[in-house]
Amino acid sequence: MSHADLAKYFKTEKQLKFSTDFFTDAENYEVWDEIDFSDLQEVEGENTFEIKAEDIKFYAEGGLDDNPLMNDEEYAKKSPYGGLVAHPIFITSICFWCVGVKGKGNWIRTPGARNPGQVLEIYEYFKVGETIHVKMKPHDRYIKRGKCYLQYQMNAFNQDNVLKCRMYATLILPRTRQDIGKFLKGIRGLSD
Amino acid sequence: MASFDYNPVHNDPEWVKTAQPFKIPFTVGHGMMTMSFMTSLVTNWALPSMLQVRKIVSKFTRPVEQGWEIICTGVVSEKHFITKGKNYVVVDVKAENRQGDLLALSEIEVVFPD
Repeated sequence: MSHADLAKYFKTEKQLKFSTDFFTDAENYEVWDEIDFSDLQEVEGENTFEIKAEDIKFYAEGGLDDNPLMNDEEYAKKSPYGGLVAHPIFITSICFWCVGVKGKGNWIRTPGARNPGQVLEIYEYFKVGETIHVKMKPHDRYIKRGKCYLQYQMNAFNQDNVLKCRMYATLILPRTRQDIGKFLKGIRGLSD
Repeated sequence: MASFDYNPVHNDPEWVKTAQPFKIPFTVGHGMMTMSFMTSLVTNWALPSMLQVRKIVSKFTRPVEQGWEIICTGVVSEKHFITKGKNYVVVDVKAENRQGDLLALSEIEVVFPD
């Protein structure tokens, strides 16, 4: 689907700005067999995520969650939380936004990637008004039943450097840059 | 769309006909969508009760195809008695389609407040 096709459904400011084209720049994405585990310094994502009410509400809507704590600003304001509470899996939106296109972690955009499951540790729920930055580093890389898995530890901090959430982001990836190249041409670049 | 994950396996029917990452020629649902549904089963009662969802471990066992209905069920499988403010339960949640095919599993930890 083109960006124009998808844009019919956009409701938030960030959606209008976000690059929906995962093919452009894919030749420069980090590749499974090139990940450098000799340097395990945490690296910041390209962008920061300023949480707005529309972001939290749209994520809840996308997940068909009608919990008023996630959707109704007036209701949430009167609750003990004092405002909207983001769905715990909202971290997904934050990671894709903060990783960006050209920076570390951009392998999460790889056409052909498959999601085997995820691990999240939540320390505090995300709230409107917080500005989130993500720091990440390689955590593990392995082959299981012929599939190449890559895992990064991604830590999401707010503007006061409070750790809000930790995600062990894992995907099954094409192994080499040539395998990614096949997917860019619409050819299956996996051997399993 | 809500997740900003525009991997073409989810939204490009022409590409997926030949690329077939999951060896099926059509688009599939986001794994994080299924994970969201499973988590909502817990947040529906945890959030209003001011409980902290602390950890979610999910495994996706089968790609979700268009037209399927996703049914999530959960059971409290563990109760941990530690001390006031640190006691927690683990909820095992599974997502299945109408045919009973297992789509995903989650273990979700919920901490009880003081």
